[in-house]
Amino acid sequence: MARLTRGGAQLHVGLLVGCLLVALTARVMPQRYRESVASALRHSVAAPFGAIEASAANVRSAVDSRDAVLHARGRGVLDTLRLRDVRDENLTLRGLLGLSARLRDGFVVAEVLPRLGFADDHRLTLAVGRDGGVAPFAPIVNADGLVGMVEQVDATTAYAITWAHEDFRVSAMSADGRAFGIVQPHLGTGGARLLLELRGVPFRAKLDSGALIVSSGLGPTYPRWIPVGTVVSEIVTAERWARTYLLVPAVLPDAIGPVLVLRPDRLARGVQGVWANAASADSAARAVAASGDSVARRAALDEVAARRAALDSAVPVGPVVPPVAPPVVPPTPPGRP
Amino acid sequence: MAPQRAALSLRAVLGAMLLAGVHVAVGPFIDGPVRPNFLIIAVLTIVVRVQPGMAAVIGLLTGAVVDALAPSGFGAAMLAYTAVAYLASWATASFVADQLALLAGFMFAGAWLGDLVYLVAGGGSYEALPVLARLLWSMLSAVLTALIAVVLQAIFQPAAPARTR
Repeated sequence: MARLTRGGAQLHVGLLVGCLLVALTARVMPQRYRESVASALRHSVAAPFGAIEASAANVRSAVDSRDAVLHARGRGVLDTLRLRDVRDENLTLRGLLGLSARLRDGFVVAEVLPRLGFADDHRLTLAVGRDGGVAPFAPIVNADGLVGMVEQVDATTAYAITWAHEDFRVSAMSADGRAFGIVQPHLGTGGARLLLELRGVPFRAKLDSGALIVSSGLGPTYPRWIPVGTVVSEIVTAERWARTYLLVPAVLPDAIGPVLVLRPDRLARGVQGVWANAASADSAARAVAASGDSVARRAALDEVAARRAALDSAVPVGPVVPPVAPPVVPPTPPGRP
Repeated sequence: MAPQRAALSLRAVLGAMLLAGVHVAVGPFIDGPVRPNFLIIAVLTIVVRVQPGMAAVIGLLTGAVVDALAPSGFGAAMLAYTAVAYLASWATASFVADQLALLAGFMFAGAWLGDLVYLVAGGGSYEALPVLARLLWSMLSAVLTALIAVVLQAIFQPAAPARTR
């Protein structure tokens, strides 16, 4: 690089000073002049750069708005899921309120505590204990039916097994009282593990699919008329002298929210009519089916009668001469008057 | 050598224009306070090839474009780019910035000096921050700018700023 000559250096310094003066002037000039100059530059020299910047800003805003749309969509889905949970919880609480009103007294409302690490052992931890009036072997119910049984009780906590626990047993019967048996968990695999079995049903007592099974009241633990499940189908077992039925539990596992623990005084008085809706609905359904059968039978008889009448009317009009034998006239003896 | 030198200068000018376009295109996508200054790389790429007086004019025009696009501190960018362009051209009269480390330092100094002049002159960057925070973010921006310049130098070796006067 050749050193700058003295004249050249002065020229460069002069250019620098001139440029700095222009810049300073631009910096201190009144606002309206600044805007005028800036606008003129934006529409001339800086126009391509302004266009590029505007396009980039548009792309950025499009990206942002797409992110916003995705976030809003995700938030909507999340709200929908939460709304479903809230609706289910609302239904559960409403059912529990109705059940409490029908029971009137003799029960303890218990919150089910979340269990840590043992989600599949079919046990519950309740937030009430001996101080709240909970006793061992007390039945646990909710608005749908039987949930389980209290096993151990502390002062403020109770530990219970649900119907899915392998030790769970309840004497049960069909809602119409025709079939009795013992309900126990169906120890299958997968989803079938969450079904029940009604075992030991007398062979003559055949149950249809959909028949309601309630507790029979035999034994000291469970009073009569608590819904236990609904018959799905009969299953084949080695017991050829009795029938075994597969049941859908009345209380589904994910529907176990707040529960009621029945106290001994309530057990003594029974719970007939408390779950009357389900039992009566089942009886009503059977009655409707039976009445439907009688109506059909009556309709069939009416049809037979109508056909008979139609056949009768098809005979030609005229005196009906019964095929009777000609009268036997005794011969008159000659010579008699 | 003259045609080769002219070709290099042409490539430098085209590269500088491309960098200026990248500068305004990338700007809206950068939210943080650390912003690489592609425009200062473009200016320094050009001014090392011209005399200091011409470098000052180039800096003035570049600053005018910047001020036109961000008129809140109108004139501040003119001052900053004029000063940096002149000093860069004057400094490169004394050494050749063809080594990456030297180039990085050169770009860092140019970017930080330009940013400082811009801040002192009342430019709009980091208005809401304390002075120390402004200096920190300005320095980090200059470091990022220098890193980008080094990467570009490594990729486009022939078009690198080289002292040819």
